Amino acid sequence: MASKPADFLRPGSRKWRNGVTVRYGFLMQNPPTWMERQDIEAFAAALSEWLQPPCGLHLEHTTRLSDAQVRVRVKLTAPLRSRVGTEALEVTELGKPTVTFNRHLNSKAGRLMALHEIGHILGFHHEHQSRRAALGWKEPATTAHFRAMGWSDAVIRKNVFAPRDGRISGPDWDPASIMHYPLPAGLLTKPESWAGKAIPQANGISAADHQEVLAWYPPL
Amino acid sequence: MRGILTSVSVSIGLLAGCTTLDGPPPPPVAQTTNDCDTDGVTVGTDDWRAARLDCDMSTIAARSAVYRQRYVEITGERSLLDRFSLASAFSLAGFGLFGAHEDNLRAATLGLGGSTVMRNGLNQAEQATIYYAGARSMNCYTLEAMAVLDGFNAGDSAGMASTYSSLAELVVLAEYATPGTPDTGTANETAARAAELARRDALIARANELRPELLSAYSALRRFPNSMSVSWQAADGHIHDRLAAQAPDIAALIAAARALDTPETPPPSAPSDDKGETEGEAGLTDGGPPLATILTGLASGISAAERYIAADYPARVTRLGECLAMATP
Repeated sequence: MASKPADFLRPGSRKWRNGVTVRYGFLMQNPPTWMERQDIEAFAAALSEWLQPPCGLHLEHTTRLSDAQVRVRVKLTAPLRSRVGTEALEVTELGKPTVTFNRHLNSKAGRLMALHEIGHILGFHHEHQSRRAALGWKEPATTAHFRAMGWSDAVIRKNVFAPRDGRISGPDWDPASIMHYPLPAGLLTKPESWAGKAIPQANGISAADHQEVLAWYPPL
Repeated sequence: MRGILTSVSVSIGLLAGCTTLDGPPPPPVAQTTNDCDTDGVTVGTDDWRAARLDCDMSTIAARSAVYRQRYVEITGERSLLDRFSLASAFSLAGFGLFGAHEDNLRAATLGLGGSTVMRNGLNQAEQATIYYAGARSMNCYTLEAMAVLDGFNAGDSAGMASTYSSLAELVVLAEYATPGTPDTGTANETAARAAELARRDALIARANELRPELLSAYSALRRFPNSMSVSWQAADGHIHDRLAAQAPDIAALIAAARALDTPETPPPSAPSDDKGETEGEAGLTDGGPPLATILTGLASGISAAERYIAADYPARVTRLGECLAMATP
């Protein structure tokens, strides 16, 4: 059973080593509040959406934070964020989260947010940043769009423009991926067929997302 | 009554002819919770509070036994052993038995009279009265502490903090949540929406009513062990001083009274924020959980709060003052 950080690592990638069991715990009151219990259930439900059909990676809930590689917190006043895959192991303070949700998960939007962040926990980057996708942006308009949401230019670069490793399976680009930001019309220049079109909010995990999980974590 | 008179006459018979006796010295002052073994328990936690309370209860039980023994030694009234026993007090869960004893004690002390004077200046009747007061006071503390220790063992402290946080958050969420029933103007939907909003308002009002009571209960539970520790030691010290015919330790009595009125402690706060890498989500715009879900949570939290409040922890802290008063003339 994996226990040391090195046991979880996959060289050259932020994905977890296939076959390990990653434990997650919640930074919550003990016992949890009513809404926190809802969050725990909603998180588990979102996780099971990702991990069905079963793959080679296992995620398991623990109430002992010292055993958890992934620590989840729901804090409505905190920024939404997640470490990507094994980056979580770099957060060694038990009181610090590796993923923070800024809204409760037991709603339609909460479910989508959970699905997206769990994608990061599994080691996936944003789909719109994929090198394979090689999207073209109208940068001033795109920057203005995200600035209007209160994001700094650094955060926009990091989360929108910076190229990341792409998928290893399926299509070059999956606009239906849960890991893709929804975008209003007019921000993309490439692919040309999408120029002037909006990318709607994904309403769940796409077929290509499932394919990618199984590509990285095939059942053992 | 026959049994009492018999025991009184036996006592008188045993003491006949004596006008000045070497009475038993006052029992030594009790060990305190400072001597408790709480190694391995983090100071300030609920487990630590419960451990201190448990430790105090053991010491109090021992003190009660000493006072009972001394009382019996003086009065010969062994039938009261059971009445004073902690086990009997626990099972009867009240002080009625002591009330019934008042007449017996009066009869016993009258029988002993004030003529038999101990070397410490107290006659036997006075000593018996003091030992009786000591046992009664210690039993009073034990009864309150038992209920509070049960609460700690059941996780009431953490449960109340969690319930308090739940209610605080759910009230805010309920105020801003959109009713599940659409407002399309049809009579049925308008009525259903109005009913949902009326239920929301009623639950919010009830939650707001309970929150201060719950906070007060939470605070009382958490401060009970320290309050009791200070209070019973003051009571015990007072009994000791009375037996030694000394002036009471006024400072200890004041400290005990103050211990019943320490400031309320707010529930624990969430962990602090961190400054890690971010990889956020964008574009989600719909609201939070549905109103119906929130109202289910509110109803559940209200029910839990009512259970905790029914345990009456603030009254138990207040009753520590009554236990202390039992040790005073």
